[in-house]
Formats: sequence, C-alpha cells, structure tokens
Amino acid sequence: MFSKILFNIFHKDTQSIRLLKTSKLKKSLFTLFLFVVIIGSVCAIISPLIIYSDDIKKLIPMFNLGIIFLIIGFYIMYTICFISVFGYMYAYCYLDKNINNYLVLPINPKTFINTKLVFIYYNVILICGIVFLPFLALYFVYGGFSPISLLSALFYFLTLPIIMIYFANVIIGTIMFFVNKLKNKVLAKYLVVGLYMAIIFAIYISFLIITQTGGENEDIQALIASVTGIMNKIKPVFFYANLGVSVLNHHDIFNFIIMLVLSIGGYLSIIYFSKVYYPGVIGFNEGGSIFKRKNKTNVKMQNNSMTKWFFMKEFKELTRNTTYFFNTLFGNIIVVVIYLGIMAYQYFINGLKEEMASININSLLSIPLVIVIVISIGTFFTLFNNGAASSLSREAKNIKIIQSLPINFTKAFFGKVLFHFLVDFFTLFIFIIIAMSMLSINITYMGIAILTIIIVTLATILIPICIDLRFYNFDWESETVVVKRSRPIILNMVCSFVLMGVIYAMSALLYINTQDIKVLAFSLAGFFILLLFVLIFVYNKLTKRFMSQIQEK
Amino acid sequence: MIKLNNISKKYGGSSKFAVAPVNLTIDDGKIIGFIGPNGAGKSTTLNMISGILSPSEGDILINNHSIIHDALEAKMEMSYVQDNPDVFLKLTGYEYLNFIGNAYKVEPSLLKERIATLSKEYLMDDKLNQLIDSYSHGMRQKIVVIGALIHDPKVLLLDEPLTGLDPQASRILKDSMRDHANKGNTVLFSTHVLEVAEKLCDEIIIINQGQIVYQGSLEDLKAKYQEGISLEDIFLTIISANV
Repeated sequence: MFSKILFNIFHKDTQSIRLLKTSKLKKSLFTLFLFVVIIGSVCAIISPLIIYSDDIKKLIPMFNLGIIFLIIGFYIMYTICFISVFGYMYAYCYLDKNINNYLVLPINPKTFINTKLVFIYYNVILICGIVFLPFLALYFVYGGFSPISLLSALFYFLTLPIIMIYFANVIIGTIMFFVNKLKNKVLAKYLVVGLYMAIIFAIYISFLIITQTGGENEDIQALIASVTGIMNKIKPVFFYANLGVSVLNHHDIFNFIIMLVLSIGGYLSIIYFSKVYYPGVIGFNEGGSIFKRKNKTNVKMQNNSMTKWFFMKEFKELTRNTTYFFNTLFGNIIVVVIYLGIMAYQYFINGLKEEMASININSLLSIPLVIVIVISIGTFFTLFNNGAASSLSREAKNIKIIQSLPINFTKAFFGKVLFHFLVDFFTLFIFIIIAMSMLSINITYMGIAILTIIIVTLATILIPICIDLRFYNFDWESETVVVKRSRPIILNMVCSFVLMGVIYAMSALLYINTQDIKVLAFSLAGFFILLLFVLIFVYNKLTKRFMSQIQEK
Repeated sequence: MIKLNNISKKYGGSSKFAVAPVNLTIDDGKIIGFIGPNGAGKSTTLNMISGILSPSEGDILINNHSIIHDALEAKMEMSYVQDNPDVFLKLTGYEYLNFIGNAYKVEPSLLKERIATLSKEYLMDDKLNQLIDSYSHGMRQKIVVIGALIHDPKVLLLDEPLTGLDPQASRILKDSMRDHANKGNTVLFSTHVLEVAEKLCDEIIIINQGQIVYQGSLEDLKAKYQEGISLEDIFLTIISANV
C-alpha cells in the first residue's frame, strides 16, 4: 500500500512537469529532444575551450587537458548541485502547498520523505547531467577513455546529489524544527535564506582567500601551476569533488570506499530527517509575521497609472511570496551580495586599490573589448529569468478581474516588463559599473558599457516575456509549478541555453577566423540590436494575440 | 440598463452553442437572479456581459455603451464579482481597493471615504492592512465585493456571490444589493440557491443548455403553475421539460 502511495506522490510530482498535452511517447521524445538541445547548447557554450585547446595545452604543458576539463566539470557540478538541492529541499518539503493534503493521510514520515527526496534527486541529476556530461565527454576525448573511468565518473555523478541531500537534510531539518517552535513562517524564510546565503558566501570567500595565499603570481603560467596546490587546500569545501577526481584519475580504491560510505551515510540521514520533519512542517503555515502590520486608519490613497500599479504589484508579489522570491529575485540578490562582498574584500583588504593606482588599465581596454566583455557577462546574468517567464502565467487567478476592469491591459502589463528590465539592468549595472569604478575606467568606456547593458537586458528580458505571452499557463494550483516547472519556464530555459550557446560559439568562431576584436564586438552588438527589434515586433504582435485569444476561451 | 442584442457564444471550433442567440433587456432599479443548472451558460453569459469573453455574434450594451466597440466606457459603468475570490493575494486589502479605485478613476479623497464606509459596513475595517492571502474565504469574498462597489457602478454583476459567506456576511451582501438596486442601479447575479433568488430578486432569468427559458417576475412564473408549488419544483419542472 505504501509503495502505491509513494508511487502516487512521485507520479503526481513528475506529472506536474507537463510540457505539452501529448501522448506519453511524444512527451518522452520531446523531453529527450529538449535534453539534447540543452546539452548541445552547453557544448556550444564551452566550445571556446575546445577551439583553444591546443593553445591551452601549449600554455600549460604539465597538465593533461582531459584532467582540466574533468576538474572544471566536477567543480561546476558540485556548485550547481549544492545550490539546487537546498532550493529543492525547501520548496518541496516545506513550501509545497500540497503538503497539507498528505499530512492528513496515515503515511509514515519516512515514506513521505523518501518520495520527496527521490523526486529531488531525480531533478538534481537532470540539472547536473546537463552541465556535467559535456565535460565528462571532453575528459574522455582529451584524457582517454577506460571503462573504470566511466564507472568512477558515473559513481561520482550519481552519489554527489545524495551527499548534498544529506547536508540539506541536516541543516534545513534542524532549522525548521526550531523555527516551528517560534510559529513564524516569515522568520523561517529569513533564517533559511540567511543561512543559505551565508554558506555560499563563505565558500566563495574561502575559495578566494585560499587562491590568494598561493603567493604572488607574476604570469598566467605560474598562476595556473598553483591550481594543484589550491585544490588540495580547498578540500574541506569541495571534498567530494576531490575524492571524485582522485578516484577517476588514479583509480584510488580507498577514496572510492570513503565515497561509498559517505553516500550510505547520506541516505541514512533520512532517518534523522524523518524524526524532525513532521514536527518541523506541522504548523509551519500557521505562523504570523515578525513585522506586525499596524492597523493604520489614516492610509493615503495613491493615484497611480496602471503601468505603475502593475510595476508595484510585481514587486510586492515577488517579495511577499517565498516561493516566487526564491525562484526569481533571490538569484539576483545572492549574485549581487556575493559579488559586492568579494569586490569589497579585494578592494579594501587585499590591496586592489593600491595595485590599481600603479596600473593604467584604460590603456589595455578598447570600445570593442568593453562591448564583448559586457555582452559575455550580460547574457550570462540576464538569461534564465523565471520571474519574467511567468509574469503573465502568475496572473491566472486575477485575469478575469483584470479583464473586467476599464484598463488598457497592454499598458498595464508593460509595468511588469519594466520591473523585470530594471531588476536585471541594475544587477548588471552594479556588477559592471562597480568593477569599472574600482578599476578607474574612464567615462567613455562606462557610457559604452551602460548602453550595451541596456540593449542586452532589453533583448534578454523580452525573450521570456514573449515566451510567456505565447505559451502562458493558466492551469496551475501550486505556485512552485508556475514559477519553476511550467511550460514557459522550461521553454525559456531551453531558449536561454540555445542563445548562450549561439553567442559563445559565434564569438569563438568569429575570433578564430578574423583575430579581430572589432569584428567580434560589432557582430555581437549588431546581433543584439537586430534581436531587440525582432523581439519588440513579436512582443507587440503577441500582446494583441493574447487579448483576442483570451476573450475567445 | 443591460441590453443583449442577439448575442451567442460558441467555444473554439465547436458547432454547438454554449449560449444560444439571446435578446434581452434588463431595466434599472432591479435585482435580477440568473439561475440554471451547472453548465447551463450562466457564467458564460455573465462573462460576455462583463467583457471577459467576446460573443461569437451580437452586441451587448451597458447604459448604451457597446462592450465590444466601446469597451472601456462600458466597463466604467459596471463592476464584476467573479465566482472565485482568491485574487491579488499578495496585496493588502487597502492596496487592492486602491488599485481597483484607480482603475475606475475614483478621486483619492472620495476613494478613501468610500473605503471607510464600505469596510465598516462589511465589518472589514480592521482587516484592511493585512494581506488578502491571510483572509478567510468569506473575507476574500467581502473585499472583492467592496472593490466592486467602490465606484458606485450603475450595473453590478455577481457570479455566485453568496458561496462561502457566513450568515452575517450573506445578510450584509443581500442588503447591500437591495440598497444598490433601490438607488436605480441594476444588479444581476447568478446563483444555485433558489431560496435566495425567491427572497431577493425582482425578476429571474432561467437558463438551461445555453437557452433562456424564462425571464420575468417570480409572481408571473408561479401564476403559471399550481398554487402553493415551490420555486424549486417549478425550476425542476422547467429544466426537465427542456432536456
């Protein structure tokens, strides 16, 4: 009976990842197609590494290129796995509104948690596979293939999420157990988010500190040569990745046994988690707010335009809803906070300020180079915008009231577009302009950078908006579904990967063929300006289409 | 006044009418109950009148403004309360009412005055600083109704407005609908509860399988049937005869 319940919960969760209302075979083929497209895009993104592999080999002859790709793959997977497991654990085990439906059933906590964790594991494996598998392929191409290497890599790939789930179990479970005693879900949100940010921040800062204790590196070769030393020093942080590298590279049986024991230990953490989970989750939704809203009677009524109202509504909705916040603005905030922390450390503690005074960095830059740098960083940070990709779908329950109001929906919806544009613009602005200010880069380059940021952000924000206008999903109950697993989100993820792949591959090919940064810069800028015009045209068409279509349904 | 000129609705590529061609005039100063079994076409008709759905054919006039050709002016004349009050959950009561007031271009000072009056009337004055998400179903229904009344609309449309309301809130809403009609406005609402229709409505419209099968006063309807027969029996007789 429990296996049936287990199957039903898992089946329900997987069913909610509905992509298209087609047959099972078509759905599976479509999922496979998306997976292949994304892996292909990741390959295109890392294509500059392949194109320049001979140059890298000449630069660092002491390193096997395959090992470098392997280490990059292991570490990227480690970081992605670490971040996504925390997000999934919190979302599925605490924020999912369906939990209340299961709590009333006579299900053993272990059965329930097992199911949820299997689903989390399944999701994390999918996400990690997208990034890890291309790097693994590169390892085999450049480092040589052997069945033992393949088995070791697969072992790392399959067991890493278990280890991460173990950490998340212990940390989130313990916090929620105590937070529930306070009966305050808002405090829970801030505690979990705070801890989450603190851990990530600590990892990156510790990585930064360790990399800078390797001595003063005069040239890039010496810097890369110190990588082995750095790897050894950061073992406590990336210990499992290092074990994986060791097992895969040296076929180290002792480390393999350690990995095996850790994986089993990770699974056993479920026993601990099952003891704290139910006391932690029961009553989680009953809490009040730490910020008690005063019952103001003298409230000032504001006379705002509908564009401004929808702008403000988007802000309030995304900040007042934990699920939305985690899946939208949180990414921008965490990037900015970590970045500002690192920059402040570099500037004030690590002596970047003094170093910069002696270097004339402006002489090393040029307008084309600024454009290329901003576009490369900009696309990386502004794509994958779940908030913009769900801006219309999230209005499912409000749409009838909005339709009945005497307002111009197109103008009102523009408030949402503006909100997401400004969020991404300021994230990128902080990222690039603070760095430029610290490096004392001249005003002309800053102006070019800001102009490029505006064009890149406008184009990259209109992609998810257009996807949502075309493939909006009003058929959802759980907030997690609309902001994480609905059709526009998945399509936006695929489009983001494809666009990144196109840009990175195009950059590598253009540069290798012309060796001229000007050609590359103006090609990329031209591509984005053209893309922007096309997207503005498509956006106008789609808003009109939506208005007529919604009145027919 | 609401005037339906030969309106009909077909969904998608279906050849079947969800609402068959209807000609109907609803006069001011009355409460009209729209009754019919599940799937009869009540919500579809209300959605067409409110401008949410476009009719496949025909036109709808709200105080002589066409909902198709002059939508914004027509919508300014009316308010619509949908069947599901789970809307704008992450706004506070004040923010929601401010938003609705702005949409209907109500002056801020007048808006504030109306919010104070209506929230007191609906016993919501101490809840307006809270998020709608924290409201019970009944409170959400009340805030949506307050929002609908905030610009004193000439035409008030309500889809199953009494569902989920406690007896006190239900009474307040019914009194409010009566007051609104007595001021010369039109109130059109759909309901499954025949007792409510019987006690509250000046006229009823019965719809079945997309066709209007009766429009008129309850007295006229009852006069057609045996004395003492309940509205429920009359309703069931009409519906079964029409199947």
